[in-house]
Amino acid sequence: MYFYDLNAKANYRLDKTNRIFLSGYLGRDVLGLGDQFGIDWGNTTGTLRWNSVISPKLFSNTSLIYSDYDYNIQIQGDDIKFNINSSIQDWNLKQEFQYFQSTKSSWRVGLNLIHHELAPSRFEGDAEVFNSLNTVSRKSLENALYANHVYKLTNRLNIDYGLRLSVYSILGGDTYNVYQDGEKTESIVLSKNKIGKTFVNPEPRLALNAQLTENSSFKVGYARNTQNLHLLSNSTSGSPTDAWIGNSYNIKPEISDQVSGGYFRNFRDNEYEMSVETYYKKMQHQVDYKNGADIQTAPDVESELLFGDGRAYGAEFFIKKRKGTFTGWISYTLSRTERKINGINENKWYNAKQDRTHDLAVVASYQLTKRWSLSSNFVFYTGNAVTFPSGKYNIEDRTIYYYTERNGYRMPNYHRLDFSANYEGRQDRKWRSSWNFSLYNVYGRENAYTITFKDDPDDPSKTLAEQTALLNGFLV
Amino acid sequence: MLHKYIITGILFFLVLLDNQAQNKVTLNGTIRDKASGEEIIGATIRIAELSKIGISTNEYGFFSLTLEPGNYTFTTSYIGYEDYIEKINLQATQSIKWTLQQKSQNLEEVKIVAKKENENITQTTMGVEKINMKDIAKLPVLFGEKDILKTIQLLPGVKSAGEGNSGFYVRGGTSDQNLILLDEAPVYNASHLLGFFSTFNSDAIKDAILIKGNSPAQYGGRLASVLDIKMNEGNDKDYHATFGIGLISSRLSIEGPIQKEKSSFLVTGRRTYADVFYKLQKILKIILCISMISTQKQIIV
Repeated sequence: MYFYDLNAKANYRLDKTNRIFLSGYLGRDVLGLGDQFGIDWGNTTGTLRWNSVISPKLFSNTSLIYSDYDYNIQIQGDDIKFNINSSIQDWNLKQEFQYFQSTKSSWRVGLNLIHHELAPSRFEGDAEVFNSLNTVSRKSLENALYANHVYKLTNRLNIDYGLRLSVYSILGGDTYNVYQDGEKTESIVLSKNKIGKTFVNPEPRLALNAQLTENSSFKVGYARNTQNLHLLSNSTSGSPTDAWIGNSYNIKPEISDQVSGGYFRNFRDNEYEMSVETYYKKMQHQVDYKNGADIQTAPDVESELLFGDGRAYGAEFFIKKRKGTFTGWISYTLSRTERKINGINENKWYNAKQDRTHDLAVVASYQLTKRWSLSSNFVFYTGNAVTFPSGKYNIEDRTIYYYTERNGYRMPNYHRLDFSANYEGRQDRKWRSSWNFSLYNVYGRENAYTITFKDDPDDPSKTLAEQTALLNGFLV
Repeated sequence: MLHKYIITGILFFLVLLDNQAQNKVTLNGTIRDKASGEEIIGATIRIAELSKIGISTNEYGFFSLTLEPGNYTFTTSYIGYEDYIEKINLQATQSIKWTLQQKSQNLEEVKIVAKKENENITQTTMGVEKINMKDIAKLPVLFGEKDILKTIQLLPGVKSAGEGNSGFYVRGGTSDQNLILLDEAPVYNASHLLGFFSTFNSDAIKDAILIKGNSPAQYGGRLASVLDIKMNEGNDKDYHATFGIGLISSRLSIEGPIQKEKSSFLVTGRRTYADVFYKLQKILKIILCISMISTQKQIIV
């Protein structure tokens, strides 16, 4: 079990106004359990960028970007051997102009063209059975055109507004099934490179800043965002084998509309910074699994999905001390996130898995001497909303759990305290060193990582809930 | 009806453009770090004679200011750097290249000077968190790995996806609703070792901002947030090597000029040796307090 990553970058100034950059990233994780099972995954990205100052007021950036994420699972048994591959590969061309019109006004106009190629769970194997699960890769185009203007209306009032036009098109080369209540109603065969269904979404954005005094301001904003790629995940924390899937004849772009407002204030000559922000977000076309969805072997995962709405609202409080020997911040969020999807929890609003009522972080740093400093952080948050069984029955000596409500239970609250001591070494012309000693989870709180259920060995009619905690505190 | 709106729009645009008086002049250029030659993102330039005017360098360290001809005192500042002040008699459009010097590491030399540090008040977009790489360096870390994705989880509105996890939720969004960009390239899975580490080696990061949903129009494609990470360009004056040794991984980076002050490179690598460690541990039977401790608790329901 190991990982590595490599970042490399080079740049070249062609002349006074033109510059070229080349940067790349390569990272890989390898995990193996004996010779029978292995999994590896990683990202590769590459960016070729050209900055040009076209005129003293006009700046241009052109980028050609490649991005790839893939994972590989190898399973080798006595008589079977197969690989599961999944990947998402993008080619992306960006052109942006920034026009600095005056001290009051600046513009940004751009175009972004992306070609996606998604290969979900491709099976390759010796065993004939798995060949039937072969799916070809799906291609799509995600294009966007945008303009943004930052304008100083008065000395105290600033506006930042813009519009992004997002256009997503399915590209042919595969067969798309249409499902109605989980039943296939239609099959759409799209020939290679033919443009299929296209989704067009205008996304207005607006932000206003009213500066009340030199040290305080009030800000409001509205933004619509759309999302054309969706990650199908059945765990809370996410796993490397979660697959990305694009819009289709069943999956529509996810849309969110967020309004937010906040008050910002600095005290004591900017030594303290304080803010209160609130937001309300409405989401459409959120994707979730059906009850009892079969995601591993269903021939088409789209038949196992349901779509619905989401809403999220909350208040965020932040105070930070920025200067002096003692620095740090406190951040607290009170929030709620819910979903309403036909087919889940009697079509009523229910807590999303990412719903957290309270979320608190306290961070403090103290400069002890010239070289030594101490830091600490404390976090507390409400446990995730999870689905636990509400009962069980027995069939042929096997225990079957049944679930009545999605996300109807909560994991226990999470809290943890960490410490660190930092030492800045003596600095001379050639060497500079620093040391960081950390203590993670100082008081050894056993935070639940997973909770699983099994029959009580003494009385099988009872159930044992088994809580597993990771990282119970150690010196690192 | 529609073309009426379009014409009104175009007229409005022309009126706006006409706003710029004919005889104005432009000062443009880049702001760089004196020691490394790296462009500084978000450095602010203020003009003493025009107290209400101040602008920042863009994501490539570039700025452009259009003013009436005249004598101006420009003050350039950035967190952790000494201010740079220059007087210019601006009569014609010109390009400059200013450099800022990092403040000395020694605390007693840091003078606390009253100056404008109210960018959080003046910037228009809301829910923008600029992540200071120096803040990250001092926080307690897991296995000696500084991690930007762990640090942002301590900010308001950003929640951790779970124990030791680099996944995060912003304002009720799921972890796939975050757009994570590394030098403009989207990163689809930002975690190593099932989420205990992020894919971002903090030695290679120059600047990072997190926008919680109210992003300007240049960003798109995800519902909840944008985490825009820019990599260091590499020192174009001298060669430097940095290495870090952690309990489960080590890292090394090398940077330097290819052609002095014209081109530069940076290479950063990192690898864990938990696998190597594990083998050693078996052979030498050394009990290390570093191994993951896992406990199980049982509750009868």
